Amino acid sequence: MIICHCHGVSDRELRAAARRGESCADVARGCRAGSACHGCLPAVREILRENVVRELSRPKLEERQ
Amino acid sequence: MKGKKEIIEALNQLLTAELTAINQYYVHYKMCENWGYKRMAHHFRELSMGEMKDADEVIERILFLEGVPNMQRMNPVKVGETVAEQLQLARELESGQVKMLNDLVALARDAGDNGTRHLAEHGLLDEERHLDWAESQLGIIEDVGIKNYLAEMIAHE
Repeated sequence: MIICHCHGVSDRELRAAARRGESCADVARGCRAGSACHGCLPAVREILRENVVRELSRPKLEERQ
Repeated sequence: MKGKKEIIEALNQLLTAELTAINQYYVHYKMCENWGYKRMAHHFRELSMGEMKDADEVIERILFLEGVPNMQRMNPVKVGETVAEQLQLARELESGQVKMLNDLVALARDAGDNGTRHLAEHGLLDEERHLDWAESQLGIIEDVGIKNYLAEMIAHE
């Protein structure tokens, strides 16, 4: 799905950025999503946050053993 | 005729959804046309035009109730990158509209605004049909596979 219409950035690209631990500002500098009309910023934030929540809810290595 | 404030606001929310749907279906129509899936493009074009007719009725009702139709507000337009994704987004969009219209029917009934209730009920049947169509297409894709499905979507009858 295309999230940022101004720069044609897909949800897949944003999830990849999220996995690299990028913030909204990093994304705006990198693939430029959310940096023009700002219309997609809520969606960009949501995708980046989803990844943080997933990372935090993952059991730590010592807890898994 | 002066309408109730909450009804006009609910109608404006419905208008926002309709305007979003017009654009979402329209861009999917043009993308499918560009990919050569003429039959699919035709379906999306019809859906877009249908939503435009729905928006027409909603705007008329808001004006009749002496409200201001909000033509500026729009939800994010979700653009699918494949036909299957476009159908999933159509299902998502239509199920949102069905819920919104059911809520509007209840709101209008409780407010004693049966004209708006009638409009919402009429729209609800249309959106339910669209939702059923999207669900059926996704079901067919599951059964026959995306390649067979797309092969059927090339030629326009």
